[in-house]
Amino acid sequence: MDIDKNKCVGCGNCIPWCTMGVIYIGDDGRAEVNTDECVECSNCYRMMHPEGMNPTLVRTVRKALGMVKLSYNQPIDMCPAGAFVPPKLEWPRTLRRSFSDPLAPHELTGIGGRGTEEIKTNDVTGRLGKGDVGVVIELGRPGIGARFRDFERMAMALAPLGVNFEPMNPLTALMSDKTTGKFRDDVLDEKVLSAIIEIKTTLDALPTVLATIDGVARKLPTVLSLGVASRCEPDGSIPHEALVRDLGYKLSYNGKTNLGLGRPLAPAHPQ
Amino acid sequence: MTNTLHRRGAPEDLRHDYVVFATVHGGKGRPEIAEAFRRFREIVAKYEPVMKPLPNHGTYKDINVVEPAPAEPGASATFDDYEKVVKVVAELKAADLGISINISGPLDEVACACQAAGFTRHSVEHSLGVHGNRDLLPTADVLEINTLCGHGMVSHNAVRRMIDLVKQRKITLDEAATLLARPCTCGVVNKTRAKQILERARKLG
Repeated sequence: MDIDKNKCVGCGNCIPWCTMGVIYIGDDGRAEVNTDECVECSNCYRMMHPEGMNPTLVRTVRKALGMVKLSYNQPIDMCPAGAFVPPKLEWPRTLRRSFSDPLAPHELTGIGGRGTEEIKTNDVTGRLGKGDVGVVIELGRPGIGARFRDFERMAMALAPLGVNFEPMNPLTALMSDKTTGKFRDDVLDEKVLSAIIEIKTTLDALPTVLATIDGVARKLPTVLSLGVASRCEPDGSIPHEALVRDLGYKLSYNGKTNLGLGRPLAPAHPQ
Repeated sequence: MTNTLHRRGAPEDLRHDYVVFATVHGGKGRPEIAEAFRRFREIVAKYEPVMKPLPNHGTYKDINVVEPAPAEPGASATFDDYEKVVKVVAELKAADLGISINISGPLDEVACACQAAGFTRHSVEHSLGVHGNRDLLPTADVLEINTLCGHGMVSHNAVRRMIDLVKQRKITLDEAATLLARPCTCGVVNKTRAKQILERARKLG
């Protein structure tokens, strides 16, 4: 994101809304963005309503009030002179926006969001059948961010286990070699708010997969949020539940339930 | 609503937090799909969700330029009352929309809602929590509100700022919760829970 210094009045209203916490007031008293850490989520731009005021007038009033130890603060979601300017991005920086801004579609897949439909359409696609487990590894979440070299590190550790990377996932599209999990070199330094490595494996292989994820996570400079999914048994029980608990993981009280009300694409899908 | 399953909190708080959403696999532009989504929105709206489907969940025309395309109606609703969820599930089952319906919320309660409507749940996803460099994480209150948005658009600093403003009584709980819900373009931030968390932080001083 760019900030027009001619319009910024240095009120600092925008600072809290930055998802990465990388907007600050510079030495000149006006807001700046650390562009290396900015993920182009556009949250600041959307949250800050331009108030349409003259920046020189606002600065003068703020300075005058400051001299008598008074202040005038605009509502926290107002940018007095509308200083935010969404930049026209070039590859590979465009990836920051496509992964971090929920309104931006991915250039490579045309789909918005950070992953795919995963279990959300499992009743229709049958992607996860009996004995299958879906694992979602969202690096950068919650609210820390991650670079593609972090994703590559995780993917290259998982690939030798024979896991299947979800083909429609936008991260998979960035891999130069899907058999090794290697990412394109030109994207490795790009940073995103979060993105999700989605893999399909089996119940039998799950302990090894989770141990591998844990091993990589301990060495990462960021955090990850981990999820595990499977298709329920006819009685509604969850195949992965006991296994994951026995491995020492604390299962969430809440989670995502696919009710099963979608019409299957093909009745013959493995159940 | 990428990952609404990572919402955090104590079970007694999570029992007031359900995101019901419709998803379609392919063919979103087909007339019957549009009709299914319309019926979905009609059904959930009838039970007065705390957050209704937003009309502005569009996408950009061009990845390089921030210029929203014409809005496409959203297909999610957030509830803070389990009894309403039970009724919504029963009505969605009866409506036989043919599209996938998911609920992020307490798993046992949702399973019971399915049973009450006469069917068994299809698939379940658990969160196994946060791993890696957890020293980077903020306090529990901040995380509980941050994770109410599936895309993580409610920044840690915005939550901290709202907690400060609420403590200083410069802003009401409702105003703070409304502001914190705004960055979530999917409209799944549960304002009831956000207010509860802010109130708890205010009382702690």
